[in-house]
Amino acid sequence: MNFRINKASIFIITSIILGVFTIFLSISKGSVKIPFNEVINILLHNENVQNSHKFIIINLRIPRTISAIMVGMSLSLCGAIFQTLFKNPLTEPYLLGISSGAALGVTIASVFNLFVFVNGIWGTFAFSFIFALLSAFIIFTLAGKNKSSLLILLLSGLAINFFFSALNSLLLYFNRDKLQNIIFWQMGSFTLSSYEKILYTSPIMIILIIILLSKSKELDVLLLSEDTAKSIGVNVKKQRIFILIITTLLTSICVGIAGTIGFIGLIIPHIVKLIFPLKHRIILPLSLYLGAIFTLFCDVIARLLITNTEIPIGIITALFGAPFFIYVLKKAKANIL
Amino acid sequence: MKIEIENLNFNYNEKNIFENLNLKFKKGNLNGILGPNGCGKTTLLKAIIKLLKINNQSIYHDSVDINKLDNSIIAKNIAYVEQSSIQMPKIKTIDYIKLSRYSYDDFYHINNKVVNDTIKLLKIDKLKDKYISELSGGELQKVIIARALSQETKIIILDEPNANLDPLHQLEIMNLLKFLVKEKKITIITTLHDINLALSYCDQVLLIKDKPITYGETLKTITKENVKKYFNLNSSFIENPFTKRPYIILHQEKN
Amino acid sequence: MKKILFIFLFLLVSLNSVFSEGSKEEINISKTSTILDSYQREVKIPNNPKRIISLGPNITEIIGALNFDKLVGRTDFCDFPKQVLELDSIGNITNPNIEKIVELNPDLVIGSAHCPKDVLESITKLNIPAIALYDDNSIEGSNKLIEQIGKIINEDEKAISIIEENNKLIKSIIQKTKDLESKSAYYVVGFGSWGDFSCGGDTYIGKMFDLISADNIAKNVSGWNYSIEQLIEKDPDIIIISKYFDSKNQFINTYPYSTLKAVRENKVYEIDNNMLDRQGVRNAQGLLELAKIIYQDEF
Repeated sequence: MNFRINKASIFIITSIILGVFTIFLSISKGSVKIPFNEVINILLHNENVQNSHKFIIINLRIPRTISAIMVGMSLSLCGAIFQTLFKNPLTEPYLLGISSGAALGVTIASVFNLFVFVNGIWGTFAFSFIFALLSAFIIFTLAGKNKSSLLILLLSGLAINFFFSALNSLLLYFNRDKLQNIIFWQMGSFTLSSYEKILYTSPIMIILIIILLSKSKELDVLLLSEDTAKSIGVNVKKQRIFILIITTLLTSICVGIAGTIGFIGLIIPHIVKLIFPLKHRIILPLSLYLGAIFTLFCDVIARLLITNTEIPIGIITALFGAPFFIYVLKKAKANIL
Repeated sequence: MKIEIENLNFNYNEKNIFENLNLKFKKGNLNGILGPNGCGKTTLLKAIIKLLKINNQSIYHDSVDINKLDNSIIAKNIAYVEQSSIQMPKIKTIDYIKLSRYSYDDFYHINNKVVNDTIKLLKIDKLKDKYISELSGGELQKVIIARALSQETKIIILDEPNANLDPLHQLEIMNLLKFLVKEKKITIITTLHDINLALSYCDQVLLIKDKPITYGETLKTITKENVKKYFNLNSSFIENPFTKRPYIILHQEKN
Repeated sequence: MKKILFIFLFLLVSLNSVFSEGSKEEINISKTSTILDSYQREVKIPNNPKRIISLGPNITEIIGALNFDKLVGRTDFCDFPKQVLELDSIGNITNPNIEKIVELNPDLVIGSAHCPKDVLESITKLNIPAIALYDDNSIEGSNKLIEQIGKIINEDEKAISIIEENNKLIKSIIQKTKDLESKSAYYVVGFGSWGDFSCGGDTYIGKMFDLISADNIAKNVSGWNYSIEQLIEKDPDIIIISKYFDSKNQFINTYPYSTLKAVRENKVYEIDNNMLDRQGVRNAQGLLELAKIIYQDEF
């Protein structure tokens, strides 16, 4: 028991230090080199700072940091929940057609020049968010009476994914000049972060996160077979549908903000589950935390990896996520055997 | 708390499993449900705790139609013990047993009194910190019963608890059930496929096959005629030298 | 007497055949020649093509300037000169409609750098010569391309005159601008959700900035990748953006681009980027537009 507490507290302390460090890293590093003391001066509202640097730190990097934290938290939370709900370790929160729907929405808007109606920072947000919700809605409708049936949802999700991806490819085939844009967007980026976006999206994201955290009890029981869960008192059908709707909303907002960033929802819950017991009141908050740190970290790398330019963050998460996942797999195999 | 079934009709794939079934389970008894495979044992069991949807008003808990009762209310009255062959998540035994407290306030109590008492009662203290995925069949079945017991219900329903167990664990489980009925005054309803276990341990048996069901005291219900009628087998009774209760020997005629 | 007649007839016949042989050879020589296209393919093309299909917008512009009447087909993306819109389109650049091409009965098909090799091969297999022609992305490259196409479609003189005219214009622009003071400028290739892209110092557009002594804020970067932070940091006086796809409107209304000095002071100028991007006859004109934007009244 003692050994366990030690391991956990070391992890927590390390995480907190790492968290603070990563946040500071995110604020002080970027394409433009801003010396350390100037960063401090800007944060302390001192006077002798370069205006453009002040703008970059306050209006570009800080909103970006906040967005990365919000999206990182949300995606890993939804990933953990999906893995429990679908009893499948390989699920991503984009399962219910969200990623293909969002991509299609952005492609349609791009090809038919619909951004004239919703321009500015809300352009891609609007179309990706709405179409993500649309595909989830279609999947729920396809499932019909079996809305809470996992298998039916999975299969419908697969079908919609194929269909929307095909539509997307078709549109891009006839509009090759838009291809590069869409691919760039799909790989995800926090470049267009702003306080306005944060102001409108964060409150609802926090509410949704809190709602999901409050479902820890139900999720614990939902680890068991459907019959057993029902007999213990959980209204499995209702809970599943409710949780799915909330996660769909939350994931759709994330996709609207930053595109389809993969691997966060897949990897982070696994890492947490490897170290901590499978109790959702522990797993979920830790997924939030680790998701935020990981996303921040990847965003910093995305800004620094190649001088003078920014790489889409989805590439970084994949580059780090894939080998990380193999490492996790190896460790898990060792544990089981 | 009583379970009453009135005029239950149930179809599955256009096959009438139950037709006008009427039944009142006896409280404080060890009720066994016997019958050939596919005759509806498990179906009846699941219907009683609303795991299956019955459209008409047929099943009553304390005279209330179960369709009007919420899952959480039913969970406080009847607990369900699933077969130990089901896939289990990677959680510790004690955490699994704690899940039974979902409908109560003490779900998150670290030292849960009810759970600890149950563990002591069933003598599974050494299994407490093991992962349920690591337990043997017999251990797991006991743990699942412990979880059901922790639900503090007056009735416990079991679905073929002896299905994958060796003879030692089979008897252990049946003894445990007998203990719970006698000492804890819990009503047990369990499906069985071993007629002798029913003969040794059950107070009442329910025989199911096609339409007319038979429910009554074990010794009066498990007769040569009924065995032939429900199992299409010939039988002969001897005395079990240990329990002094009847012991059945079955024989299939070569036709 | 019979002998003389026989010899005369023999001479007549042989002389005839000699002369016929000669004229046949002449026709053969003037029919086709073999050239090496930009994919290093040896293709036999007619010496005087009269029905040409273009598989690239820049090729269309060049042929349109040299001799519009020789053009019989274009791609969906070809839009200059305006009259080409009346011609039949054979589809898109990378996957044109082969049947439509055949239907138009061309004697030569010319593609640009974007035309895949196998598309040209499949057209050539149908006995329609198809070649790809492109050069370096630069004014010299464009000139070489115009000259090459001029030779191929038998419009050498026109090609040379166009090249000379363009060179004259370019020379005068260079002369005029070399002593002018340039404002700092940012050329938008891509922005917003699609990533920030501009013309680095080593790109063909970056080199055009150099040519007119203009201050391209992205000149320290190699290639096309840029970042929003750098743009904010450099805060250019002028921003140049494509006039297509409602780009300017989107740009000035998107945060944080809307906070740039150039946006606030209304110094965001649109340009027909096709003039600069398409390797062809309008590069000089594009250069002129660029100079006009950068130097405004002084030009």
